[in-house]
Amino acid sequence: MGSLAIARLSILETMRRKEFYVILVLIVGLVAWMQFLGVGASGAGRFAKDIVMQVIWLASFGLAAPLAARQITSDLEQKTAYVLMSRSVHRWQYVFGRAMGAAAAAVACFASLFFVLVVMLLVKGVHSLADAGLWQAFALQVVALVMLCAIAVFFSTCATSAGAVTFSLLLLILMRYGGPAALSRIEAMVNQGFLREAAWAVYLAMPHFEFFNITQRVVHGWGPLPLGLFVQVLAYGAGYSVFAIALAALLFRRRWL
Amino acid sequence: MDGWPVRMALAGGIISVLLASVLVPGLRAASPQNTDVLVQVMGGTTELAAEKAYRDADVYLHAGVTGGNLAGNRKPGQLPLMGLVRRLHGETAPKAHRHLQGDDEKELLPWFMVAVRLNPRHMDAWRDGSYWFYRTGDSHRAEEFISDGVRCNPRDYRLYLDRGILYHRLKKWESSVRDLETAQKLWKNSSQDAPFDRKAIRIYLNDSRKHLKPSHTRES
Repeated sequence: MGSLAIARLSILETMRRKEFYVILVLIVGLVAWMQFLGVGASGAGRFAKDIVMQVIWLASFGLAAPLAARQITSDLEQKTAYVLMSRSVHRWQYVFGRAMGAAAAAVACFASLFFVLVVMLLVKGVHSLADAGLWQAFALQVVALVMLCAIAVFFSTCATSAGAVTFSLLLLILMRYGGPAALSRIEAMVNQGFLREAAWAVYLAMPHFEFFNITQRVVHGWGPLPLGLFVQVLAYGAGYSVFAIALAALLFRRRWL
Repeated sequence: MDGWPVRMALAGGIISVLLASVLVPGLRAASPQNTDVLVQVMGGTTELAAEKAYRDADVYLHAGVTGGNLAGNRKPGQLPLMGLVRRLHGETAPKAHRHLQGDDEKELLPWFMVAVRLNPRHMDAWRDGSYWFYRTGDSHRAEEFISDGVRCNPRDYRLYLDRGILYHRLKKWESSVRDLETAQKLWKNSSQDAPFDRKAIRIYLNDSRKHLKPSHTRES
């Protein structure tokens, strides 16, 4: 119950801030610009869908990381954490609540931005709302946001909020855009026995954000992911998030306040 | 309200940079070919962005499949979970060989427009863009597009060659001859393709002249 109350507090705090509204206005502006200007594309709207999806995905990541990273650090700076923990809230409950609050707020922001995309697709008359791939992409992005929030909260227990934002976004960019290249690199490391195994172990320990990016599948109509694989990716994201939050709770429990 | 002065200062700074980049001649001189606000603000990075946009057109042509995705069918090694990871990579990104067809081919066009806006010296983007406009049935836009390229790069023979070929396809023989003759004059042996381009100039020029001579018809 303690965790839920803290999570609710995090959502309310986020809604009071103005960053989200600024980004929402910018994305609505982008959609309107693409709608009215016309960029020479066909009625299929791949270009517009691609650009708007990528921008929404990146904007939601950009909102989520600082949001999660400042949860614990700002509480410590403003001494709110001491008040909360003096009211028989365990430290793990506090960390879990803050992480879940940040994730819920990030998902709420993302859902609002995604709504803009849905409206754009409806206005364009594209039948992609019936595409299961679009909703899979939505679900995968939600889990990716939870994972990013968990990682940012983990870093915030042992670094400043600026450091936590930097490390978590660095991991995100590295794995989301460099993940496949890193895998090819490790595969090419034949005859390098131990080094190859060590690189593989590090690679496996990294958060694989690239599994959650099916934008190209959706944009180019390759159809949804096979159900089994989709569930596996969701389970991986949920598992990784729980592990990161547990590790954060463990670090925070041992921290001298 | 306490954070507003900082935000206003930041917004003011950004607006100042944008205005300065457009109005101050010294800043504009950094990229004299292009007075586009986007180019002025982004500076040299626009060339990289233009190349990325041009490559994205190719990715679109292959329905979202990049070269890396196609090469991703190696046998998994002995390392644990490698097969699963590779499968996940293979499934999340499209991998089969497929081309856009029909009306969908128009989806390539915005990328060429973005590429030439970011880098007006991107010859491949001008040339390919014009070809794809023509191929998707909009020969008027194809002509406009390549003519914009010629205006931005008046000393490059390749654009005259492509416009000459376009006029040849549109049976505008007089314009075709004029452009191909200019291409012939400006031709330079500056790339691997240059000798082939020279042959193309000759072939199309001879053919256009043949069509032009017998009738002596003037183009409208």
